[in-house]
Amino acid sequence: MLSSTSNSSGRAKHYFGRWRWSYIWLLIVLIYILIIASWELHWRFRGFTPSVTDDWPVWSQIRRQANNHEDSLALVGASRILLGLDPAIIEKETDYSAHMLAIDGSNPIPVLVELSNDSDFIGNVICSIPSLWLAGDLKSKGDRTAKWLRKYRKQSLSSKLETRLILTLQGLLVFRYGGVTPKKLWEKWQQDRPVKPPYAPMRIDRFRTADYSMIDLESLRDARIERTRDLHLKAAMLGKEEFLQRVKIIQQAVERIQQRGGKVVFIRFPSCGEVLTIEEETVPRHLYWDVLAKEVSAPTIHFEDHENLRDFSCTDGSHLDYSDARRFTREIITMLQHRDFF
Amino acid sequence: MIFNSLTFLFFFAAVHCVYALPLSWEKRKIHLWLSSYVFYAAWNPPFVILLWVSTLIDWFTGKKIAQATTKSRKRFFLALSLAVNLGMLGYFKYGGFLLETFTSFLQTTGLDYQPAAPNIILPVGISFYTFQSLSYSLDIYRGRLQPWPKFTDFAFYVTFFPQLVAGPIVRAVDFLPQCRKPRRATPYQMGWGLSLLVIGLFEKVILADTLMAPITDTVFADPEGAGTLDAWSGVFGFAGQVFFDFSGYSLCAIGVAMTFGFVLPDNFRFPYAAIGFSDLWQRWHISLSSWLRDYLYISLGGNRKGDLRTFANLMMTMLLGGLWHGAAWTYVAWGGLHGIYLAVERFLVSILGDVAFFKKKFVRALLGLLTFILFCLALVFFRSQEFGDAFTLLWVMFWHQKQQLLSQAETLQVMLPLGVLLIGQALMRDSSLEKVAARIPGSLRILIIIGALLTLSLHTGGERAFIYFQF
Repeated sequence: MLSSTSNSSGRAKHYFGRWRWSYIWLLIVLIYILIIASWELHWRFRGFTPSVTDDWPVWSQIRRQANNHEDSLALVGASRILLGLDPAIIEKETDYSAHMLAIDGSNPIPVLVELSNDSDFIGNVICSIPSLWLAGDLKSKGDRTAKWLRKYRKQSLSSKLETRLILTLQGLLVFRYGGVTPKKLWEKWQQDRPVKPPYAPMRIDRFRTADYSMIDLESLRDARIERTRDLHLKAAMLGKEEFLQRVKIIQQAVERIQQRGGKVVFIRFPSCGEVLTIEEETVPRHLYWDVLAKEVSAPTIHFEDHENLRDFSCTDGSHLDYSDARRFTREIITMLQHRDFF
Repeated sequence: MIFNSLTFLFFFAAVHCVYALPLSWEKRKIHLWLSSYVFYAAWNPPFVILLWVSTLIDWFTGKKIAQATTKSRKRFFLALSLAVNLGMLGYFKYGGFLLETFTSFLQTTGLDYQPAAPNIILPVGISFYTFQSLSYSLDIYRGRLQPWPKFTDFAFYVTFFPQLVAGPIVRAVDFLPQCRKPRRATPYQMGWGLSLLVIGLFEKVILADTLMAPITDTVFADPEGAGTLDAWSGVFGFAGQVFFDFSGYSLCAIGVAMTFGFVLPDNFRFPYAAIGFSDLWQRWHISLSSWLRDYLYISLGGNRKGDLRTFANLMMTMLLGGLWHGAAWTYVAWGGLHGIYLAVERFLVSILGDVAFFKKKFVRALLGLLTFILFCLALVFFRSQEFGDAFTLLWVMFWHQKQQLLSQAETLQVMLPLGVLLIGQALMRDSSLEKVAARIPGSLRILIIIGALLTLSLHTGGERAFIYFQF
């Protein structure tokens, strides 16, 4: 080395100059590939399928794809649409490219507003607004959406590239699923919990294919009811004036999209049993959904109004199983084709 | 792009593929130079302009300083280089901070001045490449270096991607001569370089981000809720995190450069085995501490002008060193504490340095531990967002608080690896990573690399930027 500070290279020459590094690294690569392949096969044999770890960069990637195409269809909402409307089927059966922009457990209205404010978005929107997000005064609960939107706007070029690569790998390899990392496996082992495949893995297009036969449905259903009750009872529902103000914001967003030639439809996804009862008790349809349907200049579809949608049994009380989601998607496509949406 | 990303993996492979082609040395250097712009532009393309400004100004002033026939002309061009480089650094890094400080000052005098938020984005690595580029003009001014004949070599030196954004801060006298003769990595450079890259990534992704960072974040986010053991765990966790993070980055940088046949200086040398702070600063962030020593401390007079002036020079150097790390008074406090440590140590060594008792192994081990503890106490200011948080945490550390923020497993998650780190560094204190690696049996070495590679591949946690990127 030429300076007063020493360097690794000089010492490395002294210690490793005679090593056969090419053989060492060849051996390292071969053993590495062997172990990784075995690990991948192990999880596949145990019933695991590739699953994307959802986060804002993944969402941002899909969001960007929705821009600058007239045949672009944005799917906005929360978990019900994430599990209930399959973008792959929409793309197959219509001329539209569907982009899943729903965010689990979050307020979809800011996403709808963001799409409407972005002049590069010239496509259509299917929007599912769950009762809680329609009528609840839940500013703090909307933070996730706000955070994702903020980060989406500031995403760096390297982050965009990285997301593409990560998505590709997660879409192909099971061991890249967040539930089988060494850390997660260690935690589960410590808690004596079995390692099971996810019942609703996320595909590379952000659609979740739910298979409720893989889990203890009874306890999931109880937990869902408990959560729904908890969320709905905690949330202060908007009064009439405040709600009309919210509808106005929604309508303005709809108008902006329509002015660019886009179309919007609002869909109330099915919920069943006690979940539906809680929703009806806390957010009565006639006070909220029906007002929205009357005030906005976009068509609305409430599952209870249509025989073909009414008989869907949401397995956990709130979401569709994938076998139902396929059928539900086709039903919606047919209905929207009749309404000249596609 | 950051080293712990798939994008970098592809970039690295692509750059190597072209570098391996039978092209002339000039073309291969230009390829590395332009690829470095791609590497930097992946964050924010417009900021490449700042790199160009820094490169052009020091290329120009370097030439002019060498051509100048009078001292005043030399000084003028050096001042120009300093003004442009430090001006850029000042605007982007300290603009918001200075405005905030000024506003606070006015408010204390009763003036309610509320300026608009400056909204300045900090270009990644600006502190590193401005210092690196400045060293060229400073060395020419001091007569240590002649202006380099080729602009492309100089621009490549400023931009070379492994060390561009977080060091090591390489001196022109060390790097530019390497551009003369064609370089290809020898087998040991390629093999050891790749090994350093894997070890560095393991340090960053697994040890810093997965083991240490969550504990540190928990404690520093809620110092009031922490118990005494939690507070110590959080601070020790940060000591582990910042070391693994930054030394991990440095190893990656050194390793990546080595795979292209280039040599970068060491940046860390088992710092937690340091006995005293003057020893610590010869082991911790060596490229920065030697830069500050050579271009600031010595320029201020060093230790040549009496004890009082030496103390003032030490304090000035460390305070500015603190400010270099971040635009906040907490960083200045961190630097100030290190200045005090160094001054007190200097005084104690002058009166007790020859006492045989302090040369006993046991006493040296205790002094090493004391150095580490004092280093950790200073880190409280380095990591805290505000002075209030720092003082709360220090209070909790020294006055027993019963409440519990961390579980026993979380405490162990920090203490065990940190214990291994301290003992390991103490044992390797006078050795080197290469010497230690050479002592390990060959098959075990291979297993260690495979283990690190597998852990990295199976880990899917969100990528955290390197801590020093913000500086």
